[in-house]
Amino acid sequence: MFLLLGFFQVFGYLNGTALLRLHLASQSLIALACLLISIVLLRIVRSRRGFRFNGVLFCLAASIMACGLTYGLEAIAQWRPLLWVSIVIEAAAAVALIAVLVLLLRITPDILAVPHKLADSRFRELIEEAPDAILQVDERGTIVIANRTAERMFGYNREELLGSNVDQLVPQANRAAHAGQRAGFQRSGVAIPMEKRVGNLHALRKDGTEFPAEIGLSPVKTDAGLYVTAVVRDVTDRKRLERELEHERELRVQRIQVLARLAADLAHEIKNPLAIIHARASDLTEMASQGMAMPAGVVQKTCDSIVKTTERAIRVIRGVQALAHEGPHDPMQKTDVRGLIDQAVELSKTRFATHGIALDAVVPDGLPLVECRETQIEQVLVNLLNNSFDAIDGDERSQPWVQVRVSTQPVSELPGGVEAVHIDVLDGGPGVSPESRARLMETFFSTKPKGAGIGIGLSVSRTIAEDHGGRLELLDSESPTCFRLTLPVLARRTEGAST
Amino acid sequence: MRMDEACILVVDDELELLEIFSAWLGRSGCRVYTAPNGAEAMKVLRARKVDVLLSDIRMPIMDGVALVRNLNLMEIPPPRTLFVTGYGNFSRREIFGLGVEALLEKPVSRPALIEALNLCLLDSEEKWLTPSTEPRLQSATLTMESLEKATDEHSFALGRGGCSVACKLPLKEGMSIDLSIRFDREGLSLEAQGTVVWIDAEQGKAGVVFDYLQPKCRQWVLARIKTKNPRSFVPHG
Repeated sequence: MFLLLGFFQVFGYLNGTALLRLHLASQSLIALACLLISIVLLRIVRSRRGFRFNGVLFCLAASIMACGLTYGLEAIAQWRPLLWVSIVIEAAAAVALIAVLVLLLRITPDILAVPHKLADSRFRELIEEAPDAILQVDERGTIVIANRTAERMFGYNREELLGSNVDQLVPQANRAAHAGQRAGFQRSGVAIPMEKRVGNLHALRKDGTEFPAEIGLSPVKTDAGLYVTAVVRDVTDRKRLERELEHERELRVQRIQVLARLAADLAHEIKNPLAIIHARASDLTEMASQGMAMPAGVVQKTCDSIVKTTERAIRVIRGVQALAHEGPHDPMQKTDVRGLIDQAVELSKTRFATHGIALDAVVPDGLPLVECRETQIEQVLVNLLNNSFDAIDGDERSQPWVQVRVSTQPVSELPGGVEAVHIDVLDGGPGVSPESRARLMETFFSTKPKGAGIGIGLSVSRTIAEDHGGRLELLDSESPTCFRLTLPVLARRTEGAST
Repeated sequence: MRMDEACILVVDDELELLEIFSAWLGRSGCRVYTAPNGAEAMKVLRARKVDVLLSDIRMPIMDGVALVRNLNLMEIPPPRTLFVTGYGNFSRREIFGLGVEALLEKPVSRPALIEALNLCLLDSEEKWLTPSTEPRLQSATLTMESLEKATDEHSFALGRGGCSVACKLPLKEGMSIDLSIRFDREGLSLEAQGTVVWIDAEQGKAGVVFDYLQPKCRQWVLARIKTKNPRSFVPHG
């Protein structure tokens, strides 16, 4: 201070009174400012309890206050010097400043760890461009934060999202329940991780479309109240994959069941011819061992029977081999239904014509392509036509006509609303008796005389249909007899999907 | 009844097997009728007295099981029934419960068929006279509080040719066993040699056909069969 006065005196620009006034005013202002600064600092310390820089802030406040007081006392000293008080306060200021220095050195690493502006913007980008939509809502459900992914996922822009209620992102049907769930979550205040979601959640886009979603929730407690951060993931693709895998698995299980049934049936169908061969051969052995004279005619008849029966067993085995061989190896191809039917009709028409049986096909235009193994489906169609032929031919009650009729139908129970193509084979035959109806699809069951058909036609056809994700059934109508082959339209199922 | 006095109906949709079985049985002196399915067999059974029915199981129009079910509903006493089959998908428990006495598997030899028929033609008391000298694979010794209670609780049931019994032992189909059951209240005991014809591991039950009964229990068992007159050969249990 005296140094300062000396400075002014040396230059001698100002006279003593004016200089003193300026000096007093400055000292008073410094004292006041210091006091106010320390009050502000102390308020920060008080309101942010637990803040890691509170110690240094408190010491800083104390030292600034002490410095302010020394200035204030010096100003007062113009009229009434309080030398010892000044010295004590100066000492206090010195101690406080040293404390600030020590604390400052200790927390320097902490201060450096606070993100500076560039890191802060990176952090913001991290949230903005997160692969999941991130929303924060307040206690009333009003959206207060929404990232860019949320804008894209829900189709709203940020202005529309902020301030609106989060319930509008929930499908109408679940909206009432959602408000209740939200309240329940706020009461419990326990975070719900994404994988712990219950049931199938759906979210609603601005355009009214829904998508399957996984949602994780975490509570954020602040002085202004409870906020909830919601992370929303669009799982459309994953759900589709899951559905496809499930479909594949079902097909495989179905195929195994069919093969298991086939194995049991095969055993039965082979054991009958074996029983005949065994009996015939043991008869011969018995007669020979008893030294009986065997007429050539008996021997020939017995051996003929053995040969014929062996051939029958081989036919059965070949049929099963064909079934086991075909199928999973050939790739499925998108195929025109009309072409398939034309080929099957072409293959059969001469035979039908020579027996005076009318054969025609009614195929509407604009049929979707079906994904199938062409030769297999053709085999099924030819099989069905043959069955109709056999039913009509030689039965006097029959009317001599067979028709192939195609229709399309949405199948709502299959995921994705798959549309299916029905290929109906109708005939004017005598119909199928109720007893046979129940067993018709069993392997080796045949209503034809033994030897005329080996009975694997329909069950093989059914296996092929099931292998294609479709089915083969005998419709309930008594007359005309109608076998329906249903094939799913896989091509339409993937329409609109990214693959 | 002797073979050459018996009248046998053979049912099979395999016409050549019908022919073979007829020839075999004819050689043993039986009178033989044939039918290609259950429905045709019913016609024969309504028209004639048949001692033994020898039937396939799996046939079109009416299969063997349906045929026996229908027979059980008829007024006439049903013939003794044997199944000869190549089919494996049926319940042995159900078949013996319906009253079928034996199951033969195709292919079957003539001696095996004739032996089974001969056994079938014997009356129960004749069947159970001779013990087997072959070692038994398992021995089951059980004690039950009373015969009536065990019957009510389905832990024991007596059929025309065997019994079903609740038993925790690891039995197998086709296993020959020594069976010994004591019924405390009545002071009765059943001492038998038998063959396990079905098992239900889940319910812990088994069906056993008697091959031999000890003389001391033969009387009460036969008397009980006579009074209860069960249709089943081995009860369903």
